[in-house]
Amino acid sequence: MGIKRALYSGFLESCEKFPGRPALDVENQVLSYGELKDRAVSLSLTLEKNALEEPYPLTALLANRSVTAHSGILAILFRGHGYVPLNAAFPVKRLKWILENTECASIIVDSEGEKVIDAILEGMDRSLLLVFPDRNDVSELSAKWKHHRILGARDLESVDQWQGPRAVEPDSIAYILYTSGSTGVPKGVMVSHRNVMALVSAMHKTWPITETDIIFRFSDLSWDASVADLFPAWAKGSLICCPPQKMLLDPSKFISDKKITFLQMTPSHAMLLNSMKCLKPNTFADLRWGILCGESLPMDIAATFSESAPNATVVNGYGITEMTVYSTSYFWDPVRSPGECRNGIVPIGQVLPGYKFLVTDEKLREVRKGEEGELLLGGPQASLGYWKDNAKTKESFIIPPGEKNIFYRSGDIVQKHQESGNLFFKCRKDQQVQIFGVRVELGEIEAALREVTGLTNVVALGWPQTQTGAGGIVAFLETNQIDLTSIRSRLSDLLPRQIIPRDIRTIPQMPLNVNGKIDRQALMPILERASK
Amino acid sequence: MSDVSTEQVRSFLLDRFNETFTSMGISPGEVPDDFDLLAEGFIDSFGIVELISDVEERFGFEIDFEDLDPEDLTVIGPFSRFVAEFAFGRKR
Repeated sequence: MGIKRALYSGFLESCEKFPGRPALDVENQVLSYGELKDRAVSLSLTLEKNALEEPYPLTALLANRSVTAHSGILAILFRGHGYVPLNAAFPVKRLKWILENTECASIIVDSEGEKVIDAILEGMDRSLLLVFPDRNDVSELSAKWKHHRILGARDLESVDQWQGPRAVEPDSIAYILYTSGSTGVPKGVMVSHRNVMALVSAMHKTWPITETDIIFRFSDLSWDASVADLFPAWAKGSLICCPPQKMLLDPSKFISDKKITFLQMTPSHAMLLNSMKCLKPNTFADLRWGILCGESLPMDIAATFSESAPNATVVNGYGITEMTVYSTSYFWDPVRSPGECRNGIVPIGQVLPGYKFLVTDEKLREVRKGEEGELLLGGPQASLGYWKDNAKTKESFIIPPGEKNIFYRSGDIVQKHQESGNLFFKCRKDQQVQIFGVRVELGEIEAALREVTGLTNVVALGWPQTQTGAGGIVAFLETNQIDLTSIRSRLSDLLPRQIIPRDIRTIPQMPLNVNGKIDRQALMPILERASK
Repeated sequence: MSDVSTEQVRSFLLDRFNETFTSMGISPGEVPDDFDLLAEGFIDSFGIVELISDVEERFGFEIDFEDLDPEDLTVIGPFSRFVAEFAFGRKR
């Protein structure tokens, strides 16, 4: 008896073991494992019973920091589907595009998601099932959107009929997350149950937690760090505390009040807290694990953060969505680590258990010991590739010469220190920058700039350059005249706010290199001069 | 250290974002107290770091924002009042 282990298995085992323990603290309510399971089961049954024709086993989740968001993830997994998070803060055009690209025919919507649902449904011809667990009366919505099936809290199914979760194969999709694409089209990364279970196992070995730990859910569900908040915790019976959006800017009081013991945060955000003087010594006395992730970690931020959390192990976590959140880790040691840093940047350390890596030249041959090269990553966390994009998948997930297994080409240039074995992140080999932990293809921003301006010669640069990556984006347009307000407004229809250029400049002619191509580096001195 | 008034901080903010206000057709005198620089897209997350640094440089002291409600950090009125009150408390 019993079905193959799947991503939901850890949560269900915790429900058996600790039905009364708190599982989720969100929206001023605390749900036990039993209660969260019941919510998820009810939602899962409702989806199953009412779903329209679904081309793929995928369900969209227009929810983020609510009970519905968390029970929704579990509900979707219970019905054997993968979840597709839709971030209501993203441009509606992008959300519509993701819905069309995944062909999801069922959507769970929380009260925050309700605010944009009308805009999303506008012009949507195919029929969808929409479930609003936070809303009792859906008559108005049903009257407005007649060709969609719309259900509210009163329509949710009773949990009594549940026969257990649907069996899934280990390679079934657990979620699809969209990342920045260099051509301007987002890439859907397909991550399987096997991938996330391998991540959970590696995290439990590397940063062990127990049922008494309290996890801070910093990341939005559209960013994969959220996966590392949720599943390792639920598999151990820990409590997840999810702050409201408005609390995220300065979550220090929330972290202290909730006695958080495990958190992941970007170094940029730690720097922001530091600039607000909210990273004082002993601020986070309860913290046991502080994972700084998503971008380069400056040594002084690691040291300051470590002093603010004296009882915590501070970790530099490095990873890529395509390799299921985390690939390497480095444990900060206040005494030893400063000597192991280079140019003030903390090493990304060693690969997680079960991982394989190669540092290679352009022909994918391993470089000599200690030389720089592209980091190739392999192992059970290597995702299924890109949704509906075999060509891109084949380009990025390759079998290097002399190897038998698939490796992912990270595009990150690294160097391995011979004695310590630590990996150091050096730079990107392409036009990707990291802004507050999010990997952004400059090509995506340039494609959006071309679309809204009709110009050909446009350049986006990560600026100002910071120790963690880039503070934001500055754009150059080869033109004499622009309507800045109009461009900004139209860009906000295409790009998430974080990557809309903070400064848009005009230039009569782009500088060219010897090959006649735009010399991006030659634009940097203009910005440097302007910042002085 | 000299006194810093709420009005001085507010004027500094309006001046700093003058160009953006103008491009949006908002006259600095009309900017409401509850104008949120972050929500309105005037600054991004890194912009907050820059803003704090500029305010500290302008008024000549470091500001501890721990006691400011996180929701008010990027709102012109509460931000200006907090900086003035912080300066006053610091002086005492």
